[in-house]
Amino acid sequence: MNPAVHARRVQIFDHDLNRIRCGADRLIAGLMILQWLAGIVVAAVVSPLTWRGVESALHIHLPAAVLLGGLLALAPVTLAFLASG
Amino acid sequence: MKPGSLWTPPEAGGAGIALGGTDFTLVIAVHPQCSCTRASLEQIERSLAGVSDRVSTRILLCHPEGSPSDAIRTDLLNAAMRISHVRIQADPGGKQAEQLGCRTSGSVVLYDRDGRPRFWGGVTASRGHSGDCPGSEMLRAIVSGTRSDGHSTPVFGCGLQTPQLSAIPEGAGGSIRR
Repeated sequence: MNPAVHARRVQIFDHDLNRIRCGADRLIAGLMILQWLAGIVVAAVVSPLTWRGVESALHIHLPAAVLLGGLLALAPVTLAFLASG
Repeated sequence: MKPGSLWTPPEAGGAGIALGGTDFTLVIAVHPQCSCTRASLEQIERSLAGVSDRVSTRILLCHPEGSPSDAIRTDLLNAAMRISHVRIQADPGGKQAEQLGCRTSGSVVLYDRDGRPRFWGGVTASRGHSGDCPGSEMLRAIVSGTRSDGHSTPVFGCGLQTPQLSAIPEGAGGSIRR
């Protein structure tokens, strides 16, 4: 095979492969963010408050969903955008 | 999150619990707004499947002092009504629950035909967590006759009493976790 054609073929292959990988990374990053938000919504809808008699306070599930969920999503989302592909 | 001191419920007669005429009477204390207690009720329904004819269930819907009278009409009622042979009763001020030593929503006390407590505590592994746990397994084992007695298990749920209205100091109510 002509070396120039071979080099061009490899270049196109690498370019397409990188494009697909970047797309997959962005898709996963989006899903991670969606999962985080869904966790917050579920916590807010299912058990927003904890009770002691007539007193209520924010249930720990809610801040945990915001902070812990955000922390868990942070690394993959950051990598997906800063080092995609 | 560490459990409190040991909690021993009184005999049924001493706490004003009317036995159901079946082999066992199960009393459950419920805070109507506690979303975690839905898991306890589901777990009880599951644990008693197939042996429910041996158990009469009493649900004490604790109606905290100062809350509106319709506060007990929550969707927990629907979950409670799915349990076989259940009788649901309002417990104004949570007084009867307190007599039993129940300070956390989802606390259960299982009485035998003679009114002796055979098992008490919680039937979930954590707040709002359905699934097998020592409490639910023990409950089923005692009711089905494969075990005669159980020990107390931790209860996960909301507090039944408003702190300043509670006569019992924190941590004195038994194996309770919040």
